[in-house]
Amino acid sequence: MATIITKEQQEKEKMVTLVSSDSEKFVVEQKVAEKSHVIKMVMNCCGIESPIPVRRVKGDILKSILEYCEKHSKGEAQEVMEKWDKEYMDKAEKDLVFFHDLMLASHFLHIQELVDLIAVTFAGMLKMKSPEEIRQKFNINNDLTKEQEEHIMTTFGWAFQPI
Amino acid sequence: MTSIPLLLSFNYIPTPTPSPSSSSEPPSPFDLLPHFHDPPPLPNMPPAIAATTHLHDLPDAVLTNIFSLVLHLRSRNSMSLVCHKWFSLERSTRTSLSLRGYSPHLFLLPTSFSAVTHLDLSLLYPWGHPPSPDLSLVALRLRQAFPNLNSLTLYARTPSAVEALAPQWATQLRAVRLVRWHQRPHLPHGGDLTPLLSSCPGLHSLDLSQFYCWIEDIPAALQAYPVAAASLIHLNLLSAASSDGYRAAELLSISLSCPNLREFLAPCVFNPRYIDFVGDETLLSLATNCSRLKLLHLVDPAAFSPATAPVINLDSEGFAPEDARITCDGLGRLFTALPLLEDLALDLSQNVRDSGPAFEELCYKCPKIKSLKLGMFHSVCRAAGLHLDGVSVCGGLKSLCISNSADLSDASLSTIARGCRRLSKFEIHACRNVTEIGIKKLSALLRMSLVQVRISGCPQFDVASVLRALEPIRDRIEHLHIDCSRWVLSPGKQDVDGGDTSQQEEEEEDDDDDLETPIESKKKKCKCSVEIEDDEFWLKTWRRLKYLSLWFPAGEILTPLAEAGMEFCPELEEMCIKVEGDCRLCPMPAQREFGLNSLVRYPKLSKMKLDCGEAIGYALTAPSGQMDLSWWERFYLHGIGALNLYELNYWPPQDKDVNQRTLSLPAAGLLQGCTTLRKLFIHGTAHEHFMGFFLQMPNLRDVQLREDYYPAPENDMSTEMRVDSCSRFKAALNERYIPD
Repeated sequence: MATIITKEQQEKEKMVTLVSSDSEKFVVEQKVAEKSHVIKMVMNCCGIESPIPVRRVKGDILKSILEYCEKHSKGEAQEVMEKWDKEYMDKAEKDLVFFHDLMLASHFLHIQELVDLIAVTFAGMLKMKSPEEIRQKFNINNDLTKEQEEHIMTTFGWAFQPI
Repeated sequence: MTSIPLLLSFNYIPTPTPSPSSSSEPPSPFDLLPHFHDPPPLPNMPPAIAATTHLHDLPDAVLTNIFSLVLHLRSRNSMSLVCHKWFSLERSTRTSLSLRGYSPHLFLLPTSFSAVTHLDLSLLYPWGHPPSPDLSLVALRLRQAFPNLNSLTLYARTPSAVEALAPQWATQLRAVRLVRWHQRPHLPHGGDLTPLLSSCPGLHSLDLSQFYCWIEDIPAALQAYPVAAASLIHLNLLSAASSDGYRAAELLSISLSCPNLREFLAPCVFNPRYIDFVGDETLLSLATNCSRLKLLHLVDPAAFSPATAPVINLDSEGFAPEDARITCDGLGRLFTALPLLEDLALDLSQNVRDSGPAFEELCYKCPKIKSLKLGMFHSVCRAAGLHLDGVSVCGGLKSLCISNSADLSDASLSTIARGCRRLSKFEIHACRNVTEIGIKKLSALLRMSLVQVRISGCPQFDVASVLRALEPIRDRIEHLHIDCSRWVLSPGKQDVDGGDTSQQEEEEEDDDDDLETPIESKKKKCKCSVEIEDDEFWLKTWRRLKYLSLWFPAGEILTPLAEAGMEFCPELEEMCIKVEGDCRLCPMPAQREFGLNSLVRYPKLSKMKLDCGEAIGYALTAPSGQMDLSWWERFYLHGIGALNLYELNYWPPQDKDVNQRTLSLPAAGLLQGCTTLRKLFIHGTAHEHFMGFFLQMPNLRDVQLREDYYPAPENDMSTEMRVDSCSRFKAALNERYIPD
């Protein structure tokens, strides 16, 4: 009986509370939170007793990120992980605002694996698109004037590999 | 709330590097954090504003990271046109560039590609001409535009181009690839390489695999510049243009000059009839001089470029008339001297008999060996009992290629498959005792690893039997090469094989057989398709096949391919078709077309190499009863318009008597019909008015005439494609409106 209590206590000790910008609380295992380099360092210097506010990340984003961290702290077979990553990214890709926030948050929390995964996905999204399509999709203002565009196309044009 | 100051205090850790945008390395949390203070804090934004978030609010470091992952060039080009910031970021992450512009205009070069480290100048047009008449100016301009260059590819028709360009980057240049298919100008030995080696002492890699020069050039140049030679790590001398090999003394001289070589590829004379041939002793001294070799490819010129070298006539059992002076003991000593060896190719055209024990030694002496290529080695694996012997002992092998092994049998193949469990690439060429059963056993045993197979020149195979033999890995294989010399083996054929025939003769006989018995073969095809129909659909599908390479003797047709077993290839992207033989000797095919339109059944097919370069015929006027090359071109290209090709490499057939490889009128017309084509490379010449046909193709962006065969025609001499007409065509092509 006594041993069970200590075990539970140990487990409790390992849990850490993260608070998102909209004051949503998430209780996760320490090893899950450690996936983020930034949180790991905060935990190292301040301990895990008090909740850690993650002020720049909204609740839904943090939830999604923690979901990712939890999956990746289990150490499953590579093929399973790849499949899961793909599904995760497919979901994220659908909502660009979410995707954008996710990208910023993963950078902010410094989760290198997720940063890389998002970068690869993003790179895939840019493939085979015309400039206009990219602008529309990502809502970018074109600050190149017509002349500048022409200039790039013609003067530099021949250096473009026609492919 | 007590913990907020903690997080803040974390933010205030002093940051040594404030600007992450200037470095392309993945940012550390310390330099990222202050950066995130720049945009207004996201969480406080109401959702309506968040919805209009601009992607280019992203910090440069994030975007740089993402951009460097985009390798696709067209996407990169359009990314650079999105906005100012993207333009500069795209340029700063581009590391490799191959210039295609008009070489006399090279001074107009943009300076925005400052991050480029690899530059390819060999494909400027007009192809094969030096970058510009005013080389020194251009060289300065290039230096200005690409300050960080460390790898350069150059068409070096004369040494002057290298002379002007190499000093610009001098010590920072690490890798150089020279290209030349034109004849060597009159120079002292080593004259082509002198300017390069004298100005670039830090060169690590020198690739001359597409550079025509004389055998004497290399040792002379390397000896004259010992510092540059000593720093070389990779040296590739395996030139397709050369028909000559290095002798023992030259090999030794090279190995003495370059003691630090890790990778060395060269053609060698192994024939003991020549003075100063390469034998056991030479190999051993080569190995002691360069003991850190990881990759060693020594190839007999006759085995490497059969088109230019004399044909070796094999006897009835598949042995060459000469024995090489390479013994089992000698090989053992070679392997002892090269403990780091990973990749070995010894492709000879003289016999090395009873070589099995040498490869057992190889396994122990070179534990890292991964790739092995053997030509004319006999008894590589005897498979006498249940134990593993010969090559099969090398369990770490990932790639194995055996050619002209007279006694390689089905039993040897299954022993190899039992021993080398990691084999992912397997090739056999001209092994006369191998049959369908052996290959089937091999592919069943190696089902988990084997993805690349190449079977050629084996007399006991026809197309249907090769495809049947590969059934166990049909859903896994990615690359495949087969010979389409016979669709179905006729029963009387095997007797002929036993007789005293040289390979060439056999091939010719094959042609005759096929031409005589089209009806008979059709019957047989029906038989095998009935067999297959019993299987499940997925068994018939080549699920992962991406690349298919086919070899045809002149006059053979493509149409029966699907019936022979290649009906469903959903992923097939690239095809390489090579036609070889003498069109003058083979009778006119009954069917008037080769059958390219039958390839429509492969939905993803987008790239094709159609190589008729080794098909020989009459270019101008054929004697009566014979067809000239324009007829043959029509035969081969008929139906190409039906395919959704994106890229086509085409080698027109040639007339050796007048050294002419030119595009004919029917060929130009048929190519024009392929409207989806975006890139077209013709490895030969063409008349300007034929090239004009291509201007009608709406999607075509890139056309180039590359005379990349030796000797390339001197453009100023031939009437086909002069520099002026080439430029006129290019100008017309570039003037067209481009939708993307």
